[in-house]
Amino acid sequence: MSLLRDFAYAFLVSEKAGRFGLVARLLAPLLVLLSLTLPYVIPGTRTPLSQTVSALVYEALLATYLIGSRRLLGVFRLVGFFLVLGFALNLFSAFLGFEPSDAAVLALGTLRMAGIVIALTLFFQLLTIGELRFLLRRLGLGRYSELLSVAMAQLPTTFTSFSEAYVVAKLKLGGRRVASLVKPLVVDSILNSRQIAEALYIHGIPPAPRPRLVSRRDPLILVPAILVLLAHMFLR
Amino acid sequence: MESLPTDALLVARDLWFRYPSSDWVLRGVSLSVGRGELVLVLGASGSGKTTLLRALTGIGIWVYGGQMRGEVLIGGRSVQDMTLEELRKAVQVVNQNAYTHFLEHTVGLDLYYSSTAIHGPERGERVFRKAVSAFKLEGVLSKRFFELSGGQLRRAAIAKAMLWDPQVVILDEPLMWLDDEGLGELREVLVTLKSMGRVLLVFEHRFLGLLDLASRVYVLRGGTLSSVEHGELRHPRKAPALHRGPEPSPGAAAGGVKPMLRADNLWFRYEKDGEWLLRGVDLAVENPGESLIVFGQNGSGKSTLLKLLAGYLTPERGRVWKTPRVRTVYVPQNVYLFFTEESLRRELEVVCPRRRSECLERGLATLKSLGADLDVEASPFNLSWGQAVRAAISIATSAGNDAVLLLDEPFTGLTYADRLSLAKLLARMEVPKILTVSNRETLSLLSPLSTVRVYELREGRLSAIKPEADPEAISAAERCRELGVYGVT
Repeated sequence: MSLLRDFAYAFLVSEKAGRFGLVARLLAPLLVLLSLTLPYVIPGTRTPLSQTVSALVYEALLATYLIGSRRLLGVFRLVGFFLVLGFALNLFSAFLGFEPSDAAVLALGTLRMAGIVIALTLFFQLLTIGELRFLLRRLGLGRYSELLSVAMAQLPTTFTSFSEAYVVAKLKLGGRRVASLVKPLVVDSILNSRQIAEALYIHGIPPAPRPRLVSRRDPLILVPAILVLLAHMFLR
Repeated sequence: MESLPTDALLVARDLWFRYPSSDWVLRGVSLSVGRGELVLVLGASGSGKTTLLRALTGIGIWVYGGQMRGEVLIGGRSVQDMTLEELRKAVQVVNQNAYTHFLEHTVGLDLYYSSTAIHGPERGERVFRKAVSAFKLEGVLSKRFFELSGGQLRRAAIAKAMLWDPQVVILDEPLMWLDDEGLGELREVLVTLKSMGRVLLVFEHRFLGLLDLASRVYVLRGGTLSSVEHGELRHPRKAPALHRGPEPSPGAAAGGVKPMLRADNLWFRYEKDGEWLLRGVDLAVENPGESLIVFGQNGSGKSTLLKLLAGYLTPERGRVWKTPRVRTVYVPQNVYLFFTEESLRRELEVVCPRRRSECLERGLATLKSLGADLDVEASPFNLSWGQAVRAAISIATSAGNDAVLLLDEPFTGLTYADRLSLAKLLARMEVPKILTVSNRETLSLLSPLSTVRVYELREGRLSAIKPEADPEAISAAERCRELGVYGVT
């Protein structure tokens, strides 16, 4: 469960995020995400291992600065668990009569997928919920911005409820039908959502103040991200 | 109808309210509160306290689509004639679940964004700083709201409500999940708000700790409000003393009998390089029917200790030892998370894997003893909080006396009468149990638990204590029942 806890924390904004301007905080993870998804976006594009590793190293450094190495390790472990599972299934697919993919290609794909998940968590570590709301409103997605705000704000308490329900179900049902925890969680979410609706009615959802767009520190996170993208595009 | 003073800031006249396709929940409520007054509203679960709150604020109409008759005036103006912004400036609510008030994870950011949105950048910043200073939030601004203690969370939620500078503040069960320290902090805030001339309406089960601040006390029953004489409920605000007892010695106390569940020298912390939450905790449940109470303030590690005993968390040092065949059943603070099935009967069936018919029979009998009208085919999610707590404990108990019950703050959110009734139920149940308690007032109600050992968890260490019995608290609870302030729901 501490693994899940660390993973949940990876979606919370870092108190250090405010040291950078909004543009850099938005662009840095976006550029890395773009680098890692190039092979999927442009068919036939191949990126060698070194480029993928460079993106991962950049992400690791930035995430360590923002949330600390232990939490980053938690993200890696959880993402890694699913990726290794997929990797193993693919390798064993030969037993089911399928032709497995090349192990090196699979390893590269696995690393790239881990990088994509970490890039997504970086968005949340770098942007406050108010800033996400500001951006979505600017894009004409006002209604979705409010839904996202509430969902993100309640993520930690939802995680706490999940953790409690999990312990109950595991002990009460003796490891059988642990999926039954969904029922109390749904009821809890409904009860909670009523109170949230009441709180929103009484407080409203404040428009986030216009964030600071640039900061002197921006090159520290922006330049390496640009270099990672350039490496993916031009170094073959 | 009670005659209402003309200088009252909040006035409700002959208020009727019902939800779509329901019967009238409020049936002619009249109420008036003047500047600087704190009014306590009491009532059993399901008596309509929350509905009254929704009617007074317009939430019942605008969020729930209910129907309202009569009128609510704030500062002489009807709330139904106010725009939403005017209403927000007139009345603010602090929910029972104060977590729902925050949209930003960081407390400072949330308050700052709200303040600047209400008052504009310059004035907003001034109001923000004033609120931070008035509610002593300097130390928690960079914290995340879900990492705050109960008292800090309430303070932050009240500060957020006060950013609107409302004339009326309504608090819905502000003492829910608050320890003694949190109660003290809340009392300070209420005194400040009273001195600022605000109208305070407090809906609370655990009201004795706030009684001396109240100008008037009302009881909501059958949809109508009636006033109660203070003196009839008055109880001196004196927390019962705790005396040190002998240090816990798990092995020795057993006298050669193998304990059912034992914790040896448990050390635990959530962060590898963080502070220890538990530092060498020893504990043992030695025989069936034994009750252990772990008392401690919020954040002292009580719930963590239960999870370690349940085998759900692993200690960094030390170990938890269980007799083979002994199982643990956990009832969480939020009791509705305990129920996983569609009916109470089905709940019993899933906890009775062994000796099924005997177990079911015993469980049904216990459930029936909780109330003649309790329908075992009904969904557990429709029970009131008090009923849900007792039903969950009864179901957990049916697992047999080879199960150790781990009850996390089972008394929270209960009326005094319900707490007494739960204490008696726990005393009747001859199963081993470990329960946590976070306030001394509740400890003083636990005398019906005869075979009980009480420990205090403080700074990660467990020490045996002997809480002083408080017959006045028990008689006050009994008095509440007699007065019909609370029936056992």
